[in-house]
Amino acid sequence: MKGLLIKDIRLMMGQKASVVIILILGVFIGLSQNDINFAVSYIAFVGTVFALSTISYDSFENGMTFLMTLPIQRKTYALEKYVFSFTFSGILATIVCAVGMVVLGGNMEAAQIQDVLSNFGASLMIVVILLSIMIPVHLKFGPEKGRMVMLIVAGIVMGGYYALTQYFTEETMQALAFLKEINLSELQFGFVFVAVAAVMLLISLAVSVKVLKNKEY
Amino acid sequence: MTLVLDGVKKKYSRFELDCSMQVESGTVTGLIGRNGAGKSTTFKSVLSLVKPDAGTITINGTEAHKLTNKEKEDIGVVLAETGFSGYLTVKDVSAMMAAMYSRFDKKEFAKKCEHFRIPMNQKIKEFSTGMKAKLKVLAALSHEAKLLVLDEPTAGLDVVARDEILDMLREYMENEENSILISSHISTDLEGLCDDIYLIDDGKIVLHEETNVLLDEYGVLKVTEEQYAKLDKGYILCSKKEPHGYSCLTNQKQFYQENYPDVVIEKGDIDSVIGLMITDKRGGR
Repeated sequence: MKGLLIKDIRLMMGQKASVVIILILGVFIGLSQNDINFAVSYIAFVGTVFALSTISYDSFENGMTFLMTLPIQRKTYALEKYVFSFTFSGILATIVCAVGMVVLGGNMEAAQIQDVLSNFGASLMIVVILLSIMIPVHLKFGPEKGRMVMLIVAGIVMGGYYALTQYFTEETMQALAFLKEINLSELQFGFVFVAVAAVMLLISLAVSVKVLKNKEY
Repeated sequence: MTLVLDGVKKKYSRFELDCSMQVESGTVTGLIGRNGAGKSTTFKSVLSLVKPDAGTITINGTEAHKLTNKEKEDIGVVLAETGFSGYLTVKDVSAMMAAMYSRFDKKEFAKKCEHFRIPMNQKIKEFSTGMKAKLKVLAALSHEAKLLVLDEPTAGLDVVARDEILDMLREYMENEENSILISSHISTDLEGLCDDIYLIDDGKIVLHEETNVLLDEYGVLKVTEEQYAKLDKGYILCSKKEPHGYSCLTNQKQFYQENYPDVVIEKGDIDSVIGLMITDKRGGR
């Protein structure tokens, strides 16, 4: 995996100007809006998209064919994409969060600081969920078709949300009331969130490995 | 290192590969054929890029799709239409290979790149075709591989670079444990390098011969209609109708030299073998 990580780090270094711009933009948004949470979520999402672009770079001019002849296993390639993407997004989110806390933290109450840290953790879990969906789609359909599939999935999700709120309002309210009755503490909710993300990650990894195993170049 | 393909079959909609061949330790084996004959499919099967429908492929006795990373380090690869990502520089490639191959010689690789005027800090997508071709071969030779699988390694190279690469391959073969499986459209490259040659057409191996036998004992008879009628066809492998009469491929040139002194006999080479054997299959007789 080391060679693959070096490759992806160097691919990102080739895009370092863009990465620095989005990092500065994230910090600027956070400081100007006094809203570290939005900035951390934004940078985590953008970092994920950047990290996943390494799949596009690998596929450029049939490059995946040659990559698969190197001394790596296909499952290692899949696993490396998760490791690299999460680490890359995580580092960017950490930088933005840290800068935000250093600059604005002095004026925050304990509850606000806790809120920022909770949001940071939630953003990382959302990164995991995004990767769990996007990586197998990119590996199965290729980067270009993968983007189209993601748009379709996003459309279905938004369409589902619209349908729930417009046509199934009563059922939706009943479901939300039921969830409220469960009365989980923030910590318990956090554990549930992490568990869901972890399960999605494991399923996603298994799917990615299977996709690559069956793929012919 | 030995490579064995035994009854390997792969079916596509318009084409079926059905091929058995062997690359012995210490030999250079050439694979030639027209475009679309099955050369690339054969290479991809060897490298586990496609899964054969039947048959086995073994490298030093281990099935190709079960090779460990350590065993894969012993294989150097050049493929015709693919290589390192164009967004990497040669310096990036060097760092990547150093991490993947335990026997990768970074300094030697850099020295060879300098000799072949390959810039270390420029993105590969900005390279010319020739520079990309040189880089691929240098990378394949940089980690003490025991088997080279080279699909058209000299395509896009100028004459000088081609000769240098071929010299490097000859030097590589000074280690008697090394082997090469190579394909090329440049027949003189194969004639000067290969110990034996497989001719593939329409997915099937139609000829397998040692190179020196092919060059010494094969010949092309140029005969008139009258001469063709009287010719002993016992050693004629195939024939092709020509304006002057017939061109006939034989693997017993000496027999016809001794018994038919009036017949014009040209030296056999890879191009004439391909030309006649493939035309014959297509009903050129």
